[in-house]
Order: sequence, then structure tokens, then C-alpha cells
Amino acid sequence: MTVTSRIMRWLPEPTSGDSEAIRRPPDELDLAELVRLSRFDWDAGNLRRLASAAGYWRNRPDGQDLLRSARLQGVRVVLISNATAKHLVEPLIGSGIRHGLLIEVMVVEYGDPQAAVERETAAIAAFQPDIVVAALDTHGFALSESLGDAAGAAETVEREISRLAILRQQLSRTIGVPVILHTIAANSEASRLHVDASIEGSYRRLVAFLNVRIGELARESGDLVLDIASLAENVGLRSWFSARYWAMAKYPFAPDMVPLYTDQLAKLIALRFGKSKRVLVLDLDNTLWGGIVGDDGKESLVLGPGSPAGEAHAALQQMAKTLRRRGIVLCVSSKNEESVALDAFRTHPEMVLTEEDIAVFQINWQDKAANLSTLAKKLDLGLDSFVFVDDNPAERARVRFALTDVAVPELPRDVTEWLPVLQAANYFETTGFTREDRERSDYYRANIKRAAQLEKLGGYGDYLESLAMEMELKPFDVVGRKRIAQLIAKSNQFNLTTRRYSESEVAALEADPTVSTFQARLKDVFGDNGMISVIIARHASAALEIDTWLMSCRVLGRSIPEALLNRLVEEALRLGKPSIRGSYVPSAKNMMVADHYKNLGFDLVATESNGVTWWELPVRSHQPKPSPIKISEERTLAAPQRENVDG
Amino acid sequence: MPGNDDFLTRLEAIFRAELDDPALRISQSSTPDDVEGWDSLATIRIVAAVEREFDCQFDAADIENIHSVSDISRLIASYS
Repeated sequence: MTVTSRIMRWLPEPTSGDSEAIRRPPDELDLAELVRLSRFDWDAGNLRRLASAAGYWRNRPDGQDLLRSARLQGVRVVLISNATAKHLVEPLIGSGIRHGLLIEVMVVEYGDPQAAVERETAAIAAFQPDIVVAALDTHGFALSESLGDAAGAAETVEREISRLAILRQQLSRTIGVPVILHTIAANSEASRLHVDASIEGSYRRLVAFLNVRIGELARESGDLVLDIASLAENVGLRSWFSARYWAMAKYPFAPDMVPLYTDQLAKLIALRFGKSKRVLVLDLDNTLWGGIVGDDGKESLVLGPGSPAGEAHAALQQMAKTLRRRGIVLCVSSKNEESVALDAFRTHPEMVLTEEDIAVFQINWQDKAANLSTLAKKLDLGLDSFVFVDDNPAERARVRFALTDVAVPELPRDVTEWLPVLQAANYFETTGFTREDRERSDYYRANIKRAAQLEKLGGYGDYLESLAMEMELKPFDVVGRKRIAQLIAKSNQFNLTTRRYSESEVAALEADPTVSTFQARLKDVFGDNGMISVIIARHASAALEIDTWLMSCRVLGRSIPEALLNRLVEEALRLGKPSIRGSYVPSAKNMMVADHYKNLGFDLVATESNGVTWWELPVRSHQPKPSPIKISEERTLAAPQRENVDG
Repeated sequence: MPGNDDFLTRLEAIFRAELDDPALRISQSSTPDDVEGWDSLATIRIVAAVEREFDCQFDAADIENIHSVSDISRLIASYS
């Protein structure tokens, strides 16, 4: 395969050793090796090999433990297609490993999806899916042209959208799990006259409108969208579709596109399970600028207008700056003399990025893999949320080898070709866009400042007092809904039960009188931390039972659980519940909260064989501890009625 | 060249990968009836892999008429 014909150029090409390794029988391919191999650019056939090896390990008696130690999350996916989909199953499983998932797939294919779902409802429910993919392709929509007729065109699009909405309804009524919708690529067999761009009701305009409406449907329902139109546009419709394979086997897209489709789909599924990229680590020399600042001097750096490479380096900086506005944390990792490199960063007139844009500079002569590990601790984020961009193939290989969790894009030799490759990878996919996204990188910067202040101050209590923290508490509401759903989808570490609720389920909780919900926002002297904690507490018969308690790790060690417990005690008393009950459900990532309830003074009342522990706190004897946090609360009239009058 | 051992080995590798059977043996006379898992969708997958491996492209009408390994061999010969 020549370099230019590869579609997923951000993935490294397998060496001949890797190609031999993937052909070994499954029992000779341990899971760590399987995970390492999954990072390469494989064709569908080799993705199938990955899938069958993964299946071998899962089916062993100790399979679940092995998968956990390889940090693979089990996920059950229902793939609904109006076309053929069976050939996508194994490549999807293989691609899933690349994104930290071990996927099981149930296919509902070929024909009218609404009817198929109606028919297969019981089977789908029995499969207990975690997520449903409604993979309707261009052939699944009836977009007949109504040339020159704007009203007719609108009617056609709305009719097709309402059919998709019906499918969506069927799914939420019968299975009630998150859904991934697809936009569609314009069928390459349809008219593509230039004049169609200006004629109301032309096929191409119908497709464009339909895709806009699919995006809106997803926004309203809280679903994710796999933007097929964008994928097809990027590779070109001529490559995306194969009329021959559609005719022969009803393949929704060409066989060569399967690895791209399954990679992007697996990425979206992973996103639903809290696996997303949040940190971009950038090298300096020959990455953010051309040349080596320590050798060539600041004056000779290639950056900005006047040379193709200079413009390309500036464009990369611009891309990073744009990502920062989407809430991505930017860091610099460079082997340099710190003073020299920082001086260039601060004062070179063509710099697009400013010091303010960067959360952490790591400019030293240490091993970059070691530096990245330190950085992960500093930011309190997992290495699997890191993307590392470096022009040096040796550094890339080093980081890939030492830290398999870090995404390390392969880059073309020529810097002018970098951006299309980086953009096509869609590393920084998110479930939506919220105000917190825009401000998140500021939080991390502020956090580093807070840690610095801690070093200067004396006692920890003094430090907490000095932060002048104010917590705003509210029950779930429409305004907070998106962010609440995002926290529920993404929080892995400080999350007692790791129960995932979709946006529509969160919406349902807002009006549920048998549940007390809390969303907490935190401000301090450094700024607004945004929403930092979410609690769902159910009114059980003899206790207030905590279903979900999660917190952003940015605010660890700030006495926030203690402050919230005081409020929960108040809530239990108000409802006439003698105790608060909570459970800890161990996952691969939430060890940090194993002792959460113990630390809060709860008694251990039960331990289940699967490691789940149950805790109780009698509320009458609870002595609230003084908290450094000032709580302000809007209590709405819709709050649940007290059951008996006391407390 | 179609007919020699190396050629059959390449085809066999494709069949093994697409039918997920690392020990599968095929001969020119193998048909869907005597190779486990070789159904019509498997034919499509095998054809896609053959087209990649031998850098050629068959007509849809010809693919419909594939009923044995030798049919595939003949097609490769006629297109390369």
C-alpha cells in the first residue's frame, strides 16, 4: 500500500513483524500484545483477526479478569441497518480494541428498520444492549426530487425525519439506551449537475437539509451522530461508495471503507463510556515551529507567512488554539533549555499560541514518556485522554511503546500535510458542547496555580479557607441537563457506581418525585469551576439511597464530599428517612472512592461477592463538620413533599 | 500464475482469513458445498480480498457466477 492511498494516515503502518504477530494463533497473542497491535492501520481482514483473538480471551474462564487487566471495557452494541451489516461486525470488534472496548454486536439488518425493530424487540431486549447504532444509509431514505418546489422539498425532508424520529421513539420506548444516528452521504448515482446547487428540491439540497435535521434531532434527543457525510466527503464519494458492491451485496459503502467506518464508530461508542481525549501535548522544535531553537536561535525559526513550512507550523498552532476553545487542555513537551525555548515561545512575533494557552510547559531533557506520566498525574487525567504530537518518529515510537494508552498520531514527513491528517482522525470528539467545555482549559490552568499556592501556605485548612469556595446547589434542571449528562457519561474515577444515564434519562429524573437530585457548581478565588458534582438519591422505604455520586477530579481534596454529605443529611431528615444508604461498585477506574463512605463516617453493612460494598449512616446521630465551603441553594417549589413532619 | 502452487497458497490464505479458519485447505475443485462457512456473503468478502491481493476488479455479473475456487482462478487469469 503506498503512503498516499492510505485513508487513516494518523495510524502507524504495521511493520512486517507486526503483520506476522497478528497472524499468530489467538492463544499466542496475549491481550497486551493485542492492544498494542490494535493501534496500527489494518485492513478489514486483519481487524477480523484481532476480533477472533479477543473472542478467544473473552471466552476463557478467567476472561473477565484478563479483560479488566487489559483495561478493555465490555460493551454490547445493536447495529441496525437498512443495508447489509454482518460484514461490519468483526472489523468493529477489532477497531473497538483500539478504543479500549471489547464489543459484542447484535445485527438487525436488511430491510425497513422500523419493522425490524418492532419484530425483534424481544430479542434486542434480551441481548441487553448498552448502545444502539441506527445505521441508516443513503438508501434508507426516500428523497425524491421536487424540483423548484420549496414547500414540497421541506415536506419530503420532514417526512423522512419523522420516520427516523419514530425509529428513535421505538428504541427509547422498548430499550431505552443511548443511540448513535448517522448522517448520509449523497448517493453517487444521483444527479450532480452544477445547477442542482441552486434549485429548490434538488436531490443534493434534500440531502443537505436532511443532514441538518438529523443533527437537530440528535441535539434534541441527546444522541450522538456519526457524520457519514463528513467521512464520505473527506475520502471522496468515488471512494466511499461502491455501486458494484451495493448491487451485489447491498454493502452501504465500499469494502475498503470498512476500517474507517468501524474506527470512527468505535470512537463514538467509547465516548459514551467516558473515554475521550482531553489533552493535546505538543512538541516545540519542528512541530510548533520549524527549526531547532537551541541550535538555530529564535531569529532563524521558520514560522508564519513567507514560507510554506512556516505557514504550516502557524496553522498547526491555530488548530491547537481552536481546540483550546473547545475545552482541550494544551501542554508543551520539549527537549530544550527551558529559558531559551520559553523566550522564543513568549516573544517570537509570529507565535499564534500564547503562554496563557498552555496549561503546563515541560521543557527539559528527560524522557518524554516519563514526562507524560508526570503530566497525567499533575492534571489528574488518565493517559488514555492524551494525544501527543511530535515531528520526531523516534519520540513517537518511544511514547507509543512505553505508554500504549496515549494516542500518538503518525505524521507525514512534510509539515504542510499534517493538518488534514490530524483533522481526519477526529481525536477530540465530544458528546456535545457546553459552556464548561469552553472554559475547561482555564480550570486546569487555575488548578496548577492553586497547587502552587498550597506549597506557599501553611496548614491545609488554611488553604481551603483561603480559596473562599462557594458552592451553588440545585436540583437537576433543563439548564444543567447537558452538562449533567456529560458528567454522568464521562466521570470514571470519582464515581461510586459508574451508572451511565443518557440525556433523556437525566431529563426524566428532573420531574421524578421519588428522587432527590443535586447538581453542584463551585466558585473560588481563582474563578468558576463550573459543575463539579452530581448526586442522585432515591427515596427508598427506610433510607435515602444514593444511586449516583460523582465528582470532577479537578476538585479532589477540597472537602466537597463532606459539604455535600451535610446537605444529604438535611435531605434525609426532611424526608423523614432515618438513614442514608450508599454503595460502592468497583470498576477498573474508581479505586479512589473505595473508602469514600468509610471516610464520611458510614458503617459497612454488607459486602457482595462481586466486591460491591453497602454503607449506612444513621442521620440523627450525624454531627455535621464545619465546612470551608459556603453553600447557596435555590430550592424549587417542585421539590418532593415531606413524608412526615419532623426534623 | 493461476494454476501453480504459489497462486493457490495466496488464494488459500484469503479463504483462511475470510472464513476465519487458519487450518482450511482448498483446491481448485473446492465449492461452497464442501467448504464450511462459504456462503454468498462470504463470496463477496473473498472477492473483495482477491481484488485487493491481485489488484484487479471483476464485473458484478461474473461474481454472480462464482461457484468454485477454479471459477475465481479463471476470473483472476482473465483480468490480470
